[in-house]
Amino acid sequence: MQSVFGYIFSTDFVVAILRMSTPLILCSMGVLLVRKSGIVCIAFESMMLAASFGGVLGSAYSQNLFVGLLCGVALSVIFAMLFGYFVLVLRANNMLVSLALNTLGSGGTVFMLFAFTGDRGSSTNLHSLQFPDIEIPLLREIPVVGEILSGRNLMTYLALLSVPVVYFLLMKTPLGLRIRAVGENEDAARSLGSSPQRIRFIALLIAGVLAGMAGCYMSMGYVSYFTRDMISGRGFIAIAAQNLGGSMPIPTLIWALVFGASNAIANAFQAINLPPEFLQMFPYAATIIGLLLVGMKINADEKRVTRRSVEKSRAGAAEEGNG
Amino acid sequence: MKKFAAMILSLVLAFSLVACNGGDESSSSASGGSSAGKDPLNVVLVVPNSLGDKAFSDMIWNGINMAKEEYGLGEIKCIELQGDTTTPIPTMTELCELGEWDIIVTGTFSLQESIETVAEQFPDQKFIIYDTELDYSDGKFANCASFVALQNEGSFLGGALAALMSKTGVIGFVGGKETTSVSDFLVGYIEGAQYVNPDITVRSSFIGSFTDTATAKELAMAQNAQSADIIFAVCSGAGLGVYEAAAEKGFWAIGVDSDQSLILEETAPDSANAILTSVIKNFDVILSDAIGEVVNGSFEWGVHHSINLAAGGIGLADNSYYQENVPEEIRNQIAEISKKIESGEIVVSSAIGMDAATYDALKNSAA
Repeated sequence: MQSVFGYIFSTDFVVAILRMSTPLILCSMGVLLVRKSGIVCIAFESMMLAASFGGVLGSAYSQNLFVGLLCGVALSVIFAMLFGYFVLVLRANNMLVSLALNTLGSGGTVFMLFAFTGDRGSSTNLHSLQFPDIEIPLLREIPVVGEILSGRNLMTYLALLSVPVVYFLLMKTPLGLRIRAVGENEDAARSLGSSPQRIRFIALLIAGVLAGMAGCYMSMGYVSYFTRDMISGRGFIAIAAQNLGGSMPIPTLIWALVFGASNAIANAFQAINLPPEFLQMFPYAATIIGLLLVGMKINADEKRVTRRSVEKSRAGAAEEGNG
Repeated sequence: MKKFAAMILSLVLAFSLVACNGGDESSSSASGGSSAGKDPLNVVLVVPNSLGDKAFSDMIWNGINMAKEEYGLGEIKCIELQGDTTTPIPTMTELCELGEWDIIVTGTFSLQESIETVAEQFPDQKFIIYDTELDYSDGKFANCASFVALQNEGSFLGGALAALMSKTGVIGFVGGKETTSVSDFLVGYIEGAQYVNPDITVRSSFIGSFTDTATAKELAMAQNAQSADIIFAVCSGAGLGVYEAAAEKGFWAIGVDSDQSLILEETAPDSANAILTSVIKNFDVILSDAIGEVVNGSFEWGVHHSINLAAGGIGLADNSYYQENVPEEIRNQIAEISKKIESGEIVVSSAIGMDAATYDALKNSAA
């Protein structure tokens, strides 16, 4: 028991949370953009998986990290564009398309892996590259904080950076305004001259890039190879983080960190023989409790608004009566 | 337009399913061979998950390939069920009805009920079953033969080695899912460690999947942070994460099923060097020998075989990494323990048939 608490209050533990949250943060920022543009897409699992495969393949054959990242992101964007084509152009059901793409991602990556390497389970016979850990001078010297914030993987920094970038994009740029407008009222946005389809394609494109980076991190940072179905539901957890964060960048970041932390706690406590089933349930239980809290808050807000308007109209009626 | 989209979608879906299966059917056509006069045997393998795990399934398939080379089989083929629990019975029924296959090789505890159902329905179809045991009483399953390699005995050696090598007195275990066979490894591991050091602490974690490499790495790191310095990875393909964590954090890992260091030594030398040894199940040899006996006509159907340490069914991988990283003194101790298990002086418990209370008590005794 002591050893668990010793671990939980150590910098190692905070580092583990950052490691586990990195793909969730990156992907949830993508989910957020797509959601803001008014479409529901649950194909992020396949985008990440495709990217983690593409990254390994690209970096192994080119021996260039950037080319690897590019290949991974390109594959992820292809999946995002496929989703866009089916849903926005052909008007197919978004859930069905997402499910089809997720199945395609799972089977397709294994198929391609087999085609390229003759192996079906993992890419261990490829010399793929890894994103470097970045040491930050000066910051490194600060005790505790320096230990946590310096020396993390390049992608972890990019993930943290993606939050202000997405915030700025949504809130301060014309494109962000259009994305929000299309999401809130398609007809109004169209009447003002922006094409909802085009805006949504752009949102999907950016989301594809973000999910692609998340996927590349999984196979080129977190571990150093691609294994089949290695995303293991992280794409869905990212969607949960976006929902709980009410599609706002900062709350979404916080929820992604909460999921990372609940995983880290589950991993730490497993080692002292608490039932693993109970601990594996942890992130999902956190989702349900979170949704419950968010739902209750929305309900309470709505009630308050109604009550206020009822009071207002009553006050108005009373005034009229007096007058 | 909607119809067209739906059609394209279903095509995409169908393609992805075919994609899973397409790559799976590693068949090769007949090449005749030594069994002159008779038609060569056609053997089909049905694995519950998929090939490419660098561990168990690959070893079984390797065994079939060895048999083909050695005994000149006809056609061989592998069907991967991809972990889908709805397909074993229809798949095996179809294979039986086709009648093209002389022997269906299949196994593991997870497919046991499906195998029993189909084998009872088709008494003329021969089944060779690995890693689980059928009930042959009253002359049932005369068309089957099952093989088990006593993983608990091999795992006992792994536990003893871990306890001897550990400097902190804390060792770890990362399992895929808490299935009977993974638990069987854990039982042997704990007993082996306790045999050497009664005060040992064994930390055990389960990923909840055999594919989530990242979580496997994370669990191993969490155990290491809680002072475990030797970690046994019993999680098939996800074990790669444990080896990587071992290389990064500087602790030792123990691999499973096949010699993991040899598999990794070319592309991931750091990981390979972090693996002390692997607890290997020699199912390739067991199955190849069994098929050989079928070819020669000396095979006995309707019986169960438990291949133990003494019979070479299981053991530690004695490779250059083991020689180099484990001091000679400890290697001698392991050899001694191994002899004691072979002679029956040490009896290792098994999770197969163990009740939950005993199992939990054993886990807690090392917590």
